[in-house]
Amino acid sequence: MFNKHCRKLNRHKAGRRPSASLCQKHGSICRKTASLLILSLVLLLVGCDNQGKTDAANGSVIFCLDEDGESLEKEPLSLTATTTIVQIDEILDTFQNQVPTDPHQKLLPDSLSVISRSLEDQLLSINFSKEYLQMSTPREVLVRCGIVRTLVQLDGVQKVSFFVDGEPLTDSRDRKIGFMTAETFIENSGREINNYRSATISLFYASEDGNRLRRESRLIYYPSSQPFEWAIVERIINGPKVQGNYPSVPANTQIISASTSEGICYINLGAQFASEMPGVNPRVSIYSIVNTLIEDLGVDSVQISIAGENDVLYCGAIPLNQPFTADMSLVEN
Amino acid sequence: MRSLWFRILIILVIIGAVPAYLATAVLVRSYRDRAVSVREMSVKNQCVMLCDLLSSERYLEKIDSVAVNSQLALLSKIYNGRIFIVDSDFRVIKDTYDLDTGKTSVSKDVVNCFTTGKGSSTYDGRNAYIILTFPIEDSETREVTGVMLAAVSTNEVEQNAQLLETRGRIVIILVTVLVVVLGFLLSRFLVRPFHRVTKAIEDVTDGYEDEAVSVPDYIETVQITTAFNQMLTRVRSVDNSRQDFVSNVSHELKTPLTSMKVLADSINAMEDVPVELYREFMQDITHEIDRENRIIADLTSMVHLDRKAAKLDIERTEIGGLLEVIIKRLRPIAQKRDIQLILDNPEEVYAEVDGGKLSLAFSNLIENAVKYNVDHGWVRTALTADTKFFYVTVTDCGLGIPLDQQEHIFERFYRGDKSHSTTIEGTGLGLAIARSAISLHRGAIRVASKENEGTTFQVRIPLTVEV
Repeated sequence: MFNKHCRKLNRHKAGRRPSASLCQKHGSICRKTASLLILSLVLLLVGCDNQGKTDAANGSVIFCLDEDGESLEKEPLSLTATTTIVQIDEILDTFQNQVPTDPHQKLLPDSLSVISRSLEDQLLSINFSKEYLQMSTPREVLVRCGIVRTLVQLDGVQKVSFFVDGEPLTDSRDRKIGFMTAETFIENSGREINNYRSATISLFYASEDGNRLRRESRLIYYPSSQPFEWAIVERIINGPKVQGNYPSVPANTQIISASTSEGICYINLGAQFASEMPGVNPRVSIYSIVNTLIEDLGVDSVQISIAGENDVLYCGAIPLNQPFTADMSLVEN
Repeated sequence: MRSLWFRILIILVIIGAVPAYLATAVLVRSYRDRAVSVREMSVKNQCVMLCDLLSSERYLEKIDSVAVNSQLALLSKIYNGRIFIVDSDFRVIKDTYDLDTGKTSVSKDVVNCFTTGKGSSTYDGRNAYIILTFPIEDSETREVTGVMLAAVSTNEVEQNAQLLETRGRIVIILVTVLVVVLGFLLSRFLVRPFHRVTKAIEDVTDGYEDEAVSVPDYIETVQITTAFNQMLTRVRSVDNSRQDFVSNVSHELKTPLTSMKVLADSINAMEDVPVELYREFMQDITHEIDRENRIIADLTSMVHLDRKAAKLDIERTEIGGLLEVIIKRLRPIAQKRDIQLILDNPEEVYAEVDGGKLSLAFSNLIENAVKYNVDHGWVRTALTADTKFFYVTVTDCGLGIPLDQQEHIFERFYRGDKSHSTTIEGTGLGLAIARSAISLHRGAIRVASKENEGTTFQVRIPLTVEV
């Protein structure tokens, strides 16, 4: 219980003293046990308090440059502030006055400074001085990645966008960079090559009128850490690649879990799935997932749930409390 | 284990197994290196051509070129790899895995390629991949406008290498087993002649065989058997000479006893024998007893000197003094026949010797010189020395020794011309004793003589007896 507290950066001082009124009325043995319990709880708290700080230090990192200036290196970061906005300032300050351990180098060029910053709805905007534009592209990309990755570690920060001298940051083609998260950047291109699997699968999408299913065949790659079911459903959500096919489920649908057991595939989707897909028959939406999984996995049936619940009616029409078997009658030829 | 055959076996196993192991290791290593480099080379070639195509098709601006896309898909498939195309904003405009398109690459390899304008290649053997980067240059300005990163798996190579290694291991095991078996048989076979030598020697020791041992298989066994045979011959001759010695001794000891018996029997057999005759016979018997005693005394000295472990009682002695003592003792005997004893030592000679034994030797020499001399003759004893040795020369003007007898005089119990044996006293051991004593000192004795003119014995002894 106390660990959960410790993991949150801006709540690590939440530890309350437990009540010492345990077993006061009972005998001395009870008192001894009580005091032992209290002692261990206090120790745990104190340790947890420190844990909180060290967790913040261990879990949080700040980025700097490696000795060649060609990639990012991590260094431990410990914050003293508790509110998000102060923490952001602390981090930005650390960046500007960074003194990393040898042979690492400071990430930001000395000439660069932060003019202002604003946080709204977990979206952070940072305004840099015009020296930002003087950085070479490789340096700029590394600086951007390092700052964004450091800041999104904070609970109160979801996305970050950059401004230079009040103007939104653009690339060489004058396209706005926009809001960035950790996923905006990829670091180890290619080194994980042996950790991917590939498969040729069939995917069912909606037809133009939304009443039939259309089959698409695709060669996909997915990380070996990701379950096959997940990779398949993800592609259904991301939509078709072939002209004339249309997405069957909302593009922002989250996958909560996907697994198979004894011939039944269990798919738990987020609440976004509950809303009807415009222009698509609800049966088509359901069976685009069901037919795809049954054909690619060879399972007998698929059990769909929304946010863990299956005692619901999908779009008010289709009950989810029973697993679905394939319905190939919907497939267009 | 100190056994020869075991050592031969171990050596054979090592000679057999080690090269097999080394060969496998070297082969697998070379295969791996070669296979990786071949793969790298062919991917590189394909990618370089593709880069040219990319820049000519202006792929970095619009990624819809069918030619490029199909080439990319093909390359990716053939080499079991993944290709990224990154533009000058570091955005991934193409990922053949279709997973990271649109993201911004901060890969060190990509950054390095943009910064240096040169491609690179990295091989990670442990994780089985090769990463290659290629700059995409604008066909006119030669500016780097993008980077192609190809990641190729070398799992196949690793698997093949593993297979080779496994096969190699099997070969090593087979070879080792084979070598052990062959080695076992071979080493036993090679060592067999030595067992034969042992058996042959044992047979001789046990007494079953009396002939020389012969195992002609190896030079080494021939050497051993030859040495053994020589030793055998020497032992036999020693044995023989001992047998001779014993028979000689018993003969010599019996002779006085026989004489005594004869004398005693004859006097007992006679009747009415006058006292003078008894007295005469008793004197003769006493004489024979004395003779027997002398023989026994000489034999005892002989045995003492003969013992190989005869210990020398080394002391720094003045040889002249030693000789003087001997001459003084013998003077009365010499005076009986008016023989002159002369000692010739111009200076003092000190040497490390066993005085007792040498006295015995010189005493015998000088005594012989007196015994085998003519009346009114002389015996001269001369003592000289140089830096290494001292020399004692005993010369007499006596009967001399015939040439044909000179080589035998040092033999035990040899008495010279038998016609003299009855008139001149002696046991025949004197010179043998002298020679023993002298050779214990690592000295030498030589004789020169002319019949009826005289004899000279020359003795040479080292001043210091080296231990």
